[in-house]
Amino acid sequence: MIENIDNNIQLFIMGVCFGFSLYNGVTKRSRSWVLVTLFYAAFFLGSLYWELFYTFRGDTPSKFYVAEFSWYVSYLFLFLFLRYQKNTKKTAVPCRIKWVIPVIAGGLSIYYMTFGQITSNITSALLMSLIGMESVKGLCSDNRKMKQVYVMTLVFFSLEYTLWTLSCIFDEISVSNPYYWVDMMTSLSLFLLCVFVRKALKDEVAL
Amino acid sequence: MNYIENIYICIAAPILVAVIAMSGGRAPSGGDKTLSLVRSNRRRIMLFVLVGMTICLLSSYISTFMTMILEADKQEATWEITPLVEEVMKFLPVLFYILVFEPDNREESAVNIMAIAVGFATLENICYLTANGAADVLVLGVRGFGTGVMHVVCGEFVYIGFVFLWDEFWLRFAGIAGLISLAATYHAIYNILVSQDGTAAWVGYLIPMLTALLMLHLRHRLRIEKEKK
Repeated sequence: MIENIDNNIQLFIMGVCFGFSLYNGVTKRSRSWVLVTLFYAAFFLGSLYWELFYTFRGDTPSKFYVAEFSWYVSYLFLFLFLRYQKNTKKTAVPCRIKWVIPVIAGGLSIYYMTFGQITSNITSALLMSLIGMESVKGLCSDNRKMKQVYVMTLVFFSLEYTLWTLSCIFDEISVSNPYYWVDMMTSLSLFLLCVFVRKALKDEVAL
Repeated sequence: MNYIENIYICIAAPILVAVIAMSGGRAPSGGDKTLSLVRSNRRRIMLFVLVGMTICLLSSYISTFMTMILEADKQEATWEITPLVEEVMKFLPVLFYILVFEPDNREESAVNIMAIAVGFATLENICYLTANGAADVLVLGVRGFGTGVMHVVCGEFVYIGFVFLWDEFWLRFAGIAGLISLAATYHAIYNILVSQDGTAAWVGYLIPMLTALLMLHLRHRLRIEKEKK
């Protein structure tokens, strides 16, 4: 029951964000919005595939990682979006603190690997590290327009790792399992990210 | 027993002859005669339709092989393995074309992926016809506008990458790789829905048509917005 509620809330929020970013992508015709649309589209389709598979088969996908690929692709598009916002005219600010991100991601992925799925853990650690490092680098720079987006991306990064760690500790399907509550918070963080992206891309120039 | 190789030979032979016999036309870049066999617009589209059919044949081999290796049942193969194999396979000829022939513009590659999708859907539908008969026009219509259009829509996903993410090298390759995965997930969702009975199957068959109409509308809106500015 709680699992279905959680999945449906996530699907609804991702669907709204996907529709909203698609609308902005078409009306504003900017590459940044195209990348944001693809980020939400990939996340939405991955979640929809997972939910449909679970509903019709009563089990999670085990042979090939279609949903996981889709989620990794969404991380890739989020990274491409953050990287695309980098101000190339200004000189890069040295930011050593960004290296904390791969240490956290790498360390936790080693812990997750003890439960199996080596390749997918390495892939997610790599992509999440790229997202986290780009956000920290953005915060170190003086890109004020994107500040809230970088902060929310780091919140998303932290919630995703909290979620994955909780899934290793708690496995019962009940309301008392904190996994579901953190998952709902992750969905909420992605909604807020969409709001902040809209604010940041207000003056975006069309292609 | 479905003799897919025999069907392939029968359908591909006239196209192959047409590709060779067709007058060359001009390559998009101008008069480079050495590349005119594959670069001229007329031949290129036809050749890529043929390549799409070949990819359909090869994908069936690879999907069967992967299903055996992973010890998957028929449902797992359709829901998890086939979509990813087919979408990756459909992109490989375009990737080869980009790397070897270095097309002048993004539109050239974008059209190629659509031609492959059409060729792929055509052979798949013909194989379906030979296995299930051609008596029921409603079923065939649903099949044509469902599965057939789904392959074209998946091709359109990659087309987006060529149109919007082409300019910068890092965006081009990472973005298009991402879009292939997006197309595979879309394909897998379609396969899950159409393998059900009743409403779920009908929703599944409708999704590609609705997506194609949405894409057409978006393209129209984009053109209007562009003209406004």
